[in-house]
Amino acid sequence: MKYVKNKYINCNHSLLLIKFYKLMKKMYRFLFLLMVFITAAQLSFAQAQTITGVVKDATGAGLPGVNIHVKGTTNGTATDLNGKYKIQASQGDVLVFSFVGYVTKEVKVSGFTLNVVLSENVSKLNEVVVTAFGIKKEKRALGYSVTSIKPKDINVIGQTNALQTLQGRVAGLQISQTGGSFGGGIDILIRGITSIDPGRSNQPLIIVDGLPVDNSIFAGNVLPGSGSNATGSNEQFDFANRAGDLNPDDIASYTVLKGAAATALYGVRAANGAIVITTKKGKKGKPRINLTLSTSFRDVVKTPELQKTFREGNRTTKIPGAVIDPNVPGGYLRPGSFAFYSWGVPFSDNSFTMPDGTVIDLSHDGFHSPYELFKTGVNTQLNFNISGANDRFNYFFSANRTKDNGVLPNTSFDKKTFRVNAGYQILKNLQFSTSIVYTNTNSVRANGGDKSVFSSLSYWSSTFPINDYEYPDGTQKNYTNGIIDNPRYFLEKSNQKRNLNRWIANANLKWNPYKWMTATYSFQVDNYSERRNRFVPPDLDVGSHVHGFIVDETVNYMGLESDLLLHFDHNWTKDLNTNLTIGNQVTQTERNYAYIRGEDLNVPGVNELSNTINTFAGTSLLRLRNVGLFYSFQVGYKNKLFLNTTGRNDWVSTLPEGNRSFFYPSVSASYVFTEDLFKHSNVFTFGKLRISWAQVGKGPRFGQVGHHFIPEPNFPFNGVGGYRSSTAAGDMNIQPEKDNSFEVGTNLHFFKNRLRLDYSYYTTNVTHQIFTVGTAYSSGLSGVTRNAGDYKTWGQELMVSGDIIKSDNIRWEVYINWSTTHGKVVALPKDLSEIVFFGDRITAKAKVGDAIGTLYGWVYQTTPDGQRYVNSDGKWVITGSDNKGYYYTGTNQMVKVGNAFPDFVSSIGTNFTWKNLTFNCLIEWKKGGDVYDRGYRNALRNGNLKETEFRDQERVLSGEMDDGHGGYVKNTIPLMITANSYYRDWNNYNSAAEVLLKDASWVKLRSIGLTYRFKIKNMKSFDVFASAHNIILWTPFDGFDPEANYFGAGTNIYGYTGLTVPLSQSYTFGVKFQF
Amino acid sequence: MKNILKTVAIVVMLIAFSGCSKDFFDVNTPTGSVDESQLGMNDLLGPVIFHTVYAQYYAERSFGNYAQNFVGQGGSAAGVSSIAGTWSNVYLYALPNLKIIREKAKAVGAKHFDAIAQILMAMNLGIATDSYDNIPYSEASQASNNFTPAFDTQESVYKAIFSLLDNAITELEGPDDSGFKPTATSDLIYRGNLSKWLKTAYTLKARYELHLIKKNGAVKAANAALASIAKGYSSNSDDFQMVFTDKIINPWYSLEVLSKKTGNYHDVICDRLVRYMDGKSFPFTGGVVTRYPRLPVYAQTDDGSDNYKGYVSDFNTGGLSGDGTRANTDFREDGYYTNQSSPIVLISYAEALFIKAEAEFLANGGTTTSV
Repeated sequence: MKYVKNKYINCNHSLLLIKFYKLMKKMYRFLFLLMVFITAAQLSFAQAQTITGVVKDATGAGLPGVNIHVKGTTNGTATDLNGKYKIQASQGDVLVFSFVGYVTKEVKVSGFTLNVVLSENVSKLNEVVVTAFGIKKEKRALGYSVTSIKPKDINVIGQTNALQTLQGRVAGLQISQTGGSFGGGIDILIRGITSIDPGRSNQPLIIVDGLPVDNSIFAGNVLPGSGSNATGSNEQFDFANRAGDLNPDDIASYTVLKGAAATALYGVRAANGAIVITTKKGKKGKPRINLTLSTSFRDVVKTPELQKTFREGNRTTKIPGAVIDPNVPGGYLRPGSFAFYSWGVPFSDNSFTMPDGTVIDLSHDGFHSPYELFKTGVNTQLNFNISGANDRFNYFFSANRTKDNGVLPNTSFDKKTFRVNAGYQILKNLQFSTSIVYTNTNSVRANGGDKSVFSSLSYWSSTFPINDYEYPDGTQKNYTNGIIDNPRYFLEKSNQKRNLNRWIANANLKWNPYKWMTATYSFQVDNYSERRNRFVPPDLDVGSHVHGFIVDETVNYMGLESDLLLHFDHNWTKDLNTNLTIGNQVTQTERNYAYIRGEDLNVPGVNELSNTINTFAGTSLLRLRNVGLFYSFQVGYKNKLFLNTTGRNDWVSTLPEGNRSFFYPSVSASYVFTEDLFKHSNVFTFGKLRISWAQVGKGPRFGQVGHHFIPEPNFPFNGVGGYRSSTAAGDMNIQPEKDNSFEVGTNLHFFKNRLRLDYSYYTTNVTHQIFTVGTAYSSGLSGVTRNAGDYKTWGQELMVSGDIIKSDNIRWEVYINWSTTHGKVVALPKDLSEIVFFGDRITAKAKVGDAIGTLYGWVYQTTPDGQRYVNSDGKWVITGSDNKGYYYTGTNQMVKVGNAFPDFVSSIGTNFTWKNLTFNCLIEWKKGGDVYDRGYRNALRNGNLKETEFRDQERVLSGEMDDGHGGYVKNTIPLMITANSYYRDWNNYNSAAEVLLKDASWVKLRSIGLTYRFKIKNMKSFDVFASAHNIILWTPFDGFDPEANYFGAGTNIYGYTGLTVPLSQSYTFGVKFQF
Repeated sequence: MKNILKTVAIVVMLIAFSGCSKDFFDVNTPTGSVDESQLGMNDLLGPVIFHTVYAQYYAERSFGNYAQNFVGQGGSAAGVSSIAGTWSNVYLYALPNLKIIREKAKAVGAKHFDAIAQILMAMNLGIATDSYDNIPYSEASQASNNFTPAFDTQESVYKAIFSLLDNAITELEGPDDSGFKPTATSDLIYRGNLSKWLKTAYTLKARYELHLIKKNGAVKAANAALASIAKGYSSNSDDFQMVFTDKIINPWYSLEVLSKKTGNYHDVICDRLVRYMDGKSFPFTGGVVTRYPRLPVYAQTDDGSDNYKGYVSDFNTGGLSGDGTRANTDFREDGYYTNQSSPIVLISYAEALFIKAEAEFLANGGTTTSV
């Protein structure tokens, strides 16, 4: 039975073995699976690791919105507001970092953290510009013309008007000063004018940090009840435009949006273009401090040329009306009955014998230039700013004080500006920014226009020193005894004082919840209040009828703006990108105006309304409300072909209820053809073709629609009050004016962007022009505002710039701009034969088919072979359209004699830097453009001008005379040229356009400057600079600088100059500290 | 997904909100303007009278020069003129508002007010047609309904003048219990005295009847005029004149005195008028009469002398009188016409007497050659 025992043990043993074997098998299986798993796990880790990092720029600031994708895949992400990102990638993958305006970087993944620094792309290939509503776009994607200017490219120092600094810098942008007083108004025209109705504004919209600011010019009511022949208050003083309240030193960049395609999103206010300004923001790093001090000297250099040969005397008898004699009471001996003209005997004559035999001693006579009235204006500016930022907070604070005493005695300008720009990062994807600006301006302005300082100056005889203006008791000393005022006395006693306080405050929230969406909301309050005071004593001509007057005015403006924008940006494939912006804009502006005019001063010299006997008062409230909804949609293909469409719908309160809402679209495309054609050319670096079509609307002005009853302006009168029917009515079915613009252009860069060319051609068709059409008075209305007429404008712009030398130590850039702009009246309503802007001996008006800016006048009669006709008296004959008979006889009408707008405007400038020395220069050339100086005829008829020096001698006038047989022969009739026979003869000389209208072409050195930078320990830099502005190099125009406009900007009347503060040259010196 | 929906919802709400409110945009009425329904007849009367008088003033400025009562400084003639001031005052300011006054008067049955409006209309039409011949009337003052009113013949305008005046007379002589009447604070001329308005209507009628001597025959026209003038003005206090104040000064004063003082354009008395009144010239030579006492009332010499010499209307003489010596007669600084508060007279008792005199002369067979 031994067998039984062993068998039993063997069975157990084999069972164990089997069990162990099974266990081992399981274990191996497990291990095998574990190993597989581990390997598999490792493999899968390699396919999807989380890579994180930060993308920064060269200054160390995090860059939000940077696109990162794994090369060759669609796996992508974007950095957050701090530049941080997280992406799934394997080791060895290549990550592509790309961002607008920076050089794209490719980095291989190694490790789990990947920090990248991107460098800015300065090659201008992918240049970014700020377009409407602060939307940044790459220049290559734009289908329309946009020009960007950085303040370092322009000479800001010494200027106070932030927009005037752009003179001559951008083709198609024409900026002129309307008068020479410092801080005075400027006229800004982008691509000429589109609304030809007189009084409709053609000024562009001014945007600061994405929100519009008021740029209006308001003349108020400064005229007395009787005694002034002025056409309106706007010619009486140089009224400032409100964009001048900005501090030019606060500005980081300007973008000029020229055509309707660029401004379509801004709606009705930007129908004439927009200038987008961004102000400086704090940059990361230690705080930066800038301090600039400068002094400028201004002089009136260009004045009319005067004759220095003849003294004051009667125009017929030459009897001197006044002779300086200190021994006589009043200081003047008065042999004649009347002292006014300069038609007397030569200065060289020592005596004059009167008709009754008395001999007057003239040996103390001498020539005294009336332009001794002008002095050197001194201007000082101090500008300080401090800025900085950290991870969450950025700030910029600036303060500026500008003080100017003008080129005329008793005129001045004083401006203080403060600004705070701040931004705060509330959350990772929520940013808040705000800015508050405060400006205070105090100015004292000289009176221009009719019966003013300058009208008196145009008559003033150079026999009498102009600065000898008062007697010891303070009364006026004046050789004319009251016919005109002494200009110096006028300046000392009468002017307009203005005190303005303005603050603009805005708040902005930016929310970035997803990488493909951004929402921004902005709100702004723009508020200013201005007090104005005009004082005219009773002994000045303009105050003589009412025995002196005082006008106190208050202007209160409040502008509210609310903008909501949503951006969506998506890359559908690596070649196709779309972005969409939708937005809503709500605007309200309100101007509250009140004036009190007191006439008949009790005590002549006291400037208080309580010192007046008769008071007249009036108020006006102007309100505008505008709501707009808009979208902008862009498709980009392979970063070389872009298509953009926009649409906006506006609701405007100035339109009648039925037509209040109107929609207008735009479409633009750009094709960067060098991506396809010249991809690897060294010569041709970049080429873009662009084309756009856009429509924009414009409504009527406030209160024009409908018909109302108004208080009778002259009432209450003699105890009676009253109202009357208004003589103006507005069509209740009026529609908005529609501008349809078409633009083509190209941007070409050569030689690695060293040579850049930008060309545009545009044409705009304005239909349904809103006009106040004059109606037959017998209807009871003098004008009806309605849609009437078609108008077309077109032009070209060319900008060429080149970096001639570009090395580390030397940079030399030259740029040339050239532009033309023309307009033509295509159609007018059939009951309107012409639009009259201003009527005078030279009339600005346009008939159907006329170019805009056409000037009409009377001309000399001509013979059939084009020679001037000379009549039997030996004189020319001033005639009209009939070319026979005097201009006021028969059916004679005015004929076209010139055009107020130039043939073209061109400028050339250069910036040259050599180590620490910088030189810049800008020359502007305006060719063409005729003006009529409204002070010229006064000076001519009084014998003050150099051209009247030829007198009391015979001359045979050029031209042809009758030969007695019905034909013509060369003129031989001698004419004795005297005041009465020639210069004062309005039938035969001084009403002719050939005499009155002059070519106002000019070549001006807009600015020239030199800066030297010292590097000093503990300071970032110390600059010393010198510059000069507005120097006239050449002009055929004899008189004051013809750039000045007799009427202010915004009146739409061009072609007239004179009787305003003359423009001056200025020289600036200063230092700038940077810490 | 929820967030996207939330965003879209907000956007849609904003769009809906901003587009809806009509009142939001109803801010387009100019300051101070009122609706026609808020005005009464008395609110419109004052300015109408003011502008009627100014229509007369602007006509005087040129016609006085044409008639050589005065000339421009240095002897200049007025030249061709369209007396635009008259045209705009009549058609822009007077007639449209008179039309509205009449409509309001008819609506409330204010017969007397309607009469005054008709008298003023007749005055305006009279000044206009006597200056311009054919003028728009029947189609005028319709604003946007008719931008090209046709010109009516002077004959039909004169018929309209008589019809207006006759209607006015009938209404003024009848009762009016509407309660509306012109008041001292709206009637610039008569301060609400209706009897004077009635006399004005008769005097005006007489004036225009006398204009029709050649059309209706001298005797017939003169007799009609005499019938009217009998109920016309009876004293100087009835004169239709608008007095100025020191707040709004007489425009003649402003022009002839103030403008002159500051070397601006002004007028001077003409040689012709002075010689009619200086007692020395044709046709009253030989010391038959002395200087007419009215001359110094509105004129003065600029050299203080008593020898008045007016300016010949000829610019080329440069300010000489008819006898070849230097002229010296200007408007008087505080004269009857050129005082700060002088009135401008439209029709007066003096004219009524002249009408009566001429009418009686013609009615009794007088002609241009009667002695």
